[in-house]
Amino acid sequence: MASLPVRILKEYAQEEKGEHARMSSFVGAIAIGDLVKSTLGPKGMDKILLSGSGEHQNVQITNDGATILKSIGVDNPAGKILVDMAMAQDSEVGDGTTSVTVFASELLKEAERLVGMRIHPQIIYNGYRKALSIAQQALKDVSKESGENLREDLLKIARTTLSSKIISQHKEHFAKLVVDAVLRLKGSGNLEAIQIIKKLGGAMEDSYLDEGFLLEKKPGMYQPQRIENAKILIANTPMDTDKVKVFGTRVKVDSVAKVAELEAAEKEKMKDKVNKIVAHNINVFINRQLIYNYPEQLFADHAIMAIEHADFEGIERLALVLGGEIVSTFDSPETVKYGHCDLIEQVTIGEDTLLRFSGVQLGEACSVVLRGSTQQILDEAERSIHDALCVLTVHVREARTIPGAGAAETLMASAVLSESLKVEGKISFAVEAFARALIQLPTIICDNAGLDSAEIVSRIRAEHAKGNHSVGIDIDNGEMCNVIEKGILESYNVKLCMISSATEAAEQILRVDEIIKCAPRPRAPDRRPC
Amino acid sequence: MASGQLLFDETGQPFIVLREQDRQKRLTGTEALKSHIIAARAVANTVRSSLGPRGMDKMLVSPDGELTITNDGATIMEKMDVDHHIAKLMVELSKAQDDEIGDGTTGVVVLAGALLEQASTLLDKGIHPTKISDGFDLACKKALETLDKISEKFPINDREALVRTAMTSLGSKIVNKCLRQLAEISVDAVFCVADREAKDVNFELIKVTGKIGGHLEDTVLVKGVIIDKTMSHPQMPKELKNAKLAILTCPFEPPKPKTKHKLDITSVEEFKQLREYEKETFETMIKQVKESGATLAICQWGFDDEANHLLHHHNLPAVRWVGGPEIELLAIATNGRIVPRFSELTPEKLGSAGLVRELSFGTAREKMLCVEQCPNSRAVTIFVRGSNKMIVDEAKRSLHDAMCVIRNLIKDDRIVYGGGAAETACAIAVAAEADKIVGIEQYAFRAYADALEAIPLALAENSGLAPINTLTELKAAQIGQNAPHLGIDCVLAGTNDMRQQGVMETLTSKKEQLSLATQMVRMILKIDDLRVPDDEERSYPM
Repeated sequence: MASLPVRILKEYAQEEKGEHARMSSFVGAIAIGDLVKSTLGPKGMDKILLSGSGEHQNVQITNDGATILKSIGVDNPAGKILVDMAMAQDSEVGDGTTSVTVFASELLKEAERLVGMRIHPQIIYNGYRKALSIAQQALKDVSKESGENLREDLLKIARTTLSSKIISQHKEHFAKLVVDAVLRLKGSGNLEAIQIIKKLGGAMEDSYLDEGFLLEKKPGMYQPQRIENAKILIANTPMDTDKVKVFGTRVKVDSVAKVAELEAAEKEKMKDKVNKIVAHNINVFINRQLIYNYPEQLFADHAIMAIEHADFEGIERLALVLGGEIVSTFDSPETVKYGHCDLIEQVTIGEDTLLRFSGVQLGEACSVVLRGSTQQILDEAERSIHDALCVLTVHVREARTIPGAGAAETLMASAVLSESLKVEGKISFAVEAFARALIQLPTIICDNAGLDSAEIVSRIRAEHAKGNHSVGIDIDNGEMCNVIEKGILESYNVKLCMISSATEAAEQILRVDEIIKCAPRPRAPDRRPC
Repeated sequence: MASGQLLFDETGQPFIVLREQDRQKRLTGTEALKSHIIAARAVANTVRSSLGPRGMDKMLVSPDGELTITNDGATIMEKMDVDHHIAKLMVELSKAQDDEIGDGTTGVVVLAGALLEQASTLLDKGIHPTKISDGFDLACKKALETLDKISEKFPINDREALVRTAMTSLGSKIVNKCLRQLAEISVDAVFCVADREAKDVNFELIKVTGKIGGHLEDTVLVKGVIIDKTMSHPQMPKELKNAKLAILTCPFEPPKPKTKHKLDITSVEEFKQLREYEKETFETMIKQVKESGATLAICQWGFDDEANHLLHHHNLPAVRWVGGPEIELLAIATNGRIVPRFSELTPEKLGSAGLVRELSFGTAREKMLCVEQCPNSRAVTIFVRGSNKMIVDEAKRSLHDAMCVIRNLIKDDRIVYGGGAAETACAIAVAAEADKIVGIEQYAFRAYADALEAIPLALAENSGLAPINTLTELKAAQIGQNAPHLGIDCVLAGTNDMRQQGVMETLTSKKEQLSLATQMVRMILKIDDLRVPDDEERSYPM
């Protein structure tokens, strides 16, 4: 009889079963939740993320859940699920990444307690599912179509979103800024059209929305620096050396003189090209690729402003703003759509010079210029603006608002709680637990603000039980208030996405009863010089 | 350990039969068998808890830290990073079931584990492994006969019944949140592409793609093709109606002769000529496409910037870098021909589609191209959404399993009832037959019946029922009412009539499970000697 234990998995592979697996998932997920918990809400704190070492050290200060989770490098499998979920939330609706993580970890915390009461995970997640559908319904019932006063609602939502970010002291200013930017998109939701330019220096309230378009480029030498009534050709064509593209060609000559001739021919070709471009009767030429000195000089001769190396996004955005077509051949000037704008001029922001296109035809795109005293502030401001923009575009698509400041969560919790009393069987414990997890969100927001969370939340809950569904936290005065009157609104879609993804992730973790970790791939030691 | 291998000839000189004895570890006889059985059972125990609608999931971390959460037996086994040779056989076993049938991958492993467990007791009784294996073989035949006998015809044209079968398969996965919806999607998908005459389904025609984001409820079946590409020029139209597609496998570039060649430019004239030639080729290419009447060009290769602009300029939207399988699917869906050369493009070879549009998702501006309303509805795409990568992956696997079930039904429309009903019926039949057997095989026969009961036992256990009690009640009921459609009430629906609950499995799948598991066990029982290199650095498992 073989007395040795039989090893089935590879060496260094790990296996955790049953309770152990569950414990390790719970612990991991709860740890992730606790990590971002303190950043929740308007009075949440920021985190410093350090990466790299020595000269490459990179400092980030943020309270954006997605950014924090992206940077921490999680090893725990359950933790990874939460991170993945937060990323998905980020890409889907842009905001609520912290809330989704905290809510999922609260759900698991409750589940841990239920498992301790000897309730099977299957029953727990069935309860969660039931509770989720009740919560979704409750949320839907309380949501309101924005309808006429879309702009007002957008402003309110922007204010709510921004109030938890670093730029909260200027939230009025920024709320206006992002709402203007989003409304210019006219519902297309194409965030690419909004360009965020960060410039170090100045104060944060110096940030502004530029109606025109800013391009971080300079016109070539000796070319006009300011053009009125610009007729613009946007191109994507090589203006360095125009190669012969027929496959396998190469130049083979037998004398220096021939080389010179060929060079001349090449020059000729370039000149032809420039002439053709000039024949379009334009006064501005913008190319995605490089423009060499020779063509640049030719353009200067024709008093054309030539801008080189506008990157791909820049070109697309430009085409969008100016209403032009991106062109690569120049043989038929009559059919090409040109871009137009009233004025191109150089503006100086801080110590950098940018080109500004104003009076553009299609006002879809715009630029947001952010100013701030440190790089970190700028980065964080950009993230905040991005979050707000995402939320607003999502909202424009389906314009339904819900009361914010913990009112929505409390409302769902009370709906779930009152339904849980009608549920028969063990599953009711889980439904109740879901409500408890929901109520944790306003509780944490209060805690982070240093308020007496138990007192405030219970009072809010009592109001909700009385059918007063617009009561939430007044974070500044430390009491409850009517959030609708205070203008604290949130987007229905974001919240809906938040509770559904968190429940889905919690269910996924709950269903696991065994974790098998393969042996990590052996890596050759890195001997490259650093 | 190697003492037995050193022999002496008549003169007393030792000679070596096997080389390098000292560098090998060896297990022989019962010892080897026992070690193998322990290993195989350990694997079976791992997946045992995933069986049935109330089974749990496993979380698997790959060597690179990638995470998979699944309930699918074959996937668990594949990703488990198994090192033991016998355990590897078990992995192969579930893979075989997956390749052949696509569903029931967990059941087959659990059954093999149970058979080996029984074999182990028989070995302790001193029964020779060959006898055991012969007995198992006979018992398996009997079980298969029973399955044939209790099988029923399935109303293959009854969509409702099919959906319910798909629901059985999907019920054990995390996707059971939107069970009904996914079941309908898989049934419809299979029926779109099924060849009812040949009784076959070509899975190549069903493309399952996923995108993280949204919810599982947003999963849809598109009667057409979705490609993860966008129009080549940002300003091309995002939506086309009644499109004519030119499906090209040649690049919009100057032609490249396949033979190796060199083209030397030696003079200014040549340089100019080449320039002209280049320009001309581009223009003829566009002209040819345009003249054929195409309104959308799908190209397997890339375009040159100039070609791209020319296309846009001539109002000819185009998509580049479309992969091989997608090109084929597109060709099938749109009834188009894949054209390898511009000169061969004719109006007849164009495909057509009612609607081509770009879909965009979320805030990250991810886009996909969706070709719908195609003349040939035999190419479909299932588009899966989910809140994270793990869910999307698991949903894809689950849908595949469900579609396999439907396909098997189309191939062979006989079914048996699930929920352990078929296994219990077989166990009863085999046990009744056992006493009639003359010879030692009788023991193996009886053991086989016990092993079959492992499936209903595991089901009951995973569902939180008292396993032994439930099984005995079930057996009594089956014998008493002569009703092989009674099974374990896993979802606590209040009845154990599987016909009412609509829990069905295909006969082929069940038969395959039994015969594959039996074969595998017979193979393991035949091994009586095991040698592995005794290496200090890389320790081999015994």
